[in-house]
Amino acid sequence: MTSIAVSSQKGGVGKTTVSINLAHAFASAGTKTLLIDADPQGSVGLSLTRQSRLLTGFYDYLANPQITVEQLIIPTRLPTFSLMASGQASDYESGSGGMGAHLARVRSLIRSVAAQGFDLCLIDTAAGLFGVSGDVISSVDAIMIPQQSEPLGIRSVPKLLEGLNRLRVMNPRLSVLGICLTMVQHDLPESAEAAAALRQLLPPEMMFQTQIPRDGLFVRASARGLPAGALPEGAAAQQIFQSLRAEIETKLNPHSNFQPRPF
Amino acid sequence: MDPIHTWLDPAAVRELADRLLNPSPQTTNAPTGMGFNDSFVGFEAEPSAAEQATPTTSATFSARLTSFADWLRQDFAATGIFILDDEGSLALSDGQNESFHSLARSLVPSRSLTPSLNAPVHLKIAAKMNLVLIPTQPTNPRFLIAALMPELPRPSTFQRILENFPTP
Repeated sequence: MTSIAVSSQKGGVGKTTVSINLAHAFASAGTKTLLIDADPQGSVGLSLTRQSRLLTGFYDYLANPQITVEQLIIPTRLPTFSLMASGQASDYESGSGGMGAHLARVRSLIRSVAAQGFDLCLIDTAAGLFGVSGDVISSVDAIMIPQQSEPLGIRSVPKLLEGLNRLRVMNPRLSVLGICLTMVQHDLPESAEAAAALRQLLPPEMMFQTQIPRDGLFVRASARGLPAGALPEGAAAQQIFQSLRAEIETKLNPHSNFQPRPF
Repeated sequence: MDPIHTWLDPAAVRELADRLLNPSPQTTNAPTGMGFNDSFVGFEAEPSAAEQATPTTSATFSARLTSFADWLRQDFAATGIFILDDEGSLALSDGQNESFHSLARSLVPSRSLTPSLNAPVHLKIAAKMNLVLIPTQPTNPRFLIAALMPELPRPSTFQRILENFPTP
């Protein structure tokens, strides 16, 4: 099994949208996928399941050693796609605890998910590289970083890179898949310029070629509790996330011959 | 106006990115230390044999550091004690715990051992286990005291530890 954290230094960059739609893309391609909501705000659950606030989940697993992974897995209509909600634990709202406080428990969870036969465990973390999010990043095989295509967010990239270098001390095998530009607006010069500047600044291997446009489709999909690719009008979104999926597969397996579809 | 480059140092950012794209040095070395590898579940065992002090540290000072470490063990139930000098080299270490050495250097890099950075740093490693990093007073040379402690020391304890640290 491969475990991937979807994380960022800054909030509001589209982590949950990327997580949901990327997990759906993998599952649609036949990969047995578990999407874990490790954001105390429970955004994945709120997007996809109306009862999410009632579900036991990730933070309950951290807080209670009696809870098993099997109890937390929620199947969806797509047989290869399962969810784990954020949960109800008492520190749920804050995700409190210092860095390293939950490291052993997070690693136990990932091992248990692998034992359930999943091919991919995608973890949507809260913003920031500390606390529980830091423990998740210190436990997974790989990380991808959604980054909003606007100047203010991109100025935070040095902090992000510093933080990831620090976390690699705790997880030396962590593979950094790269930064995926989100909320790209080609009709807004500042957005397009920020995207171009970041691509110029960083090594090409650090940047995904696929980028996610700002599109009302994602809002409509969230309102209906579905991944965008599952909507009747979601073919374009599905193509984008299939392209992102294929890029990730290439990064994880550099010997494949995938050529990303230009956006 | 350039939206990005006027706000940051492109060379430094590039270097950080390149470091992330290359395999971590720790993955290419044999992981003999206890560290944060897959089997990490917190610390239960006492660390193994002591490492040699660095050749630049005098034998007398080395002996005083050893006594200081003994005192930390006895009075604070500290384990995994190590001390870095202001170059980031080990002046004393309880064991081969390279992950913690690297982490300490990362959290409190030697270049940051300036008078402005006097505050101790702690990191919760597991239940009842904290990595405590205490920079010594801003005299030359400066050192970083590191130890695993079951409880977080109080401010008065930090002061005691600093007062008991031997002078080179």
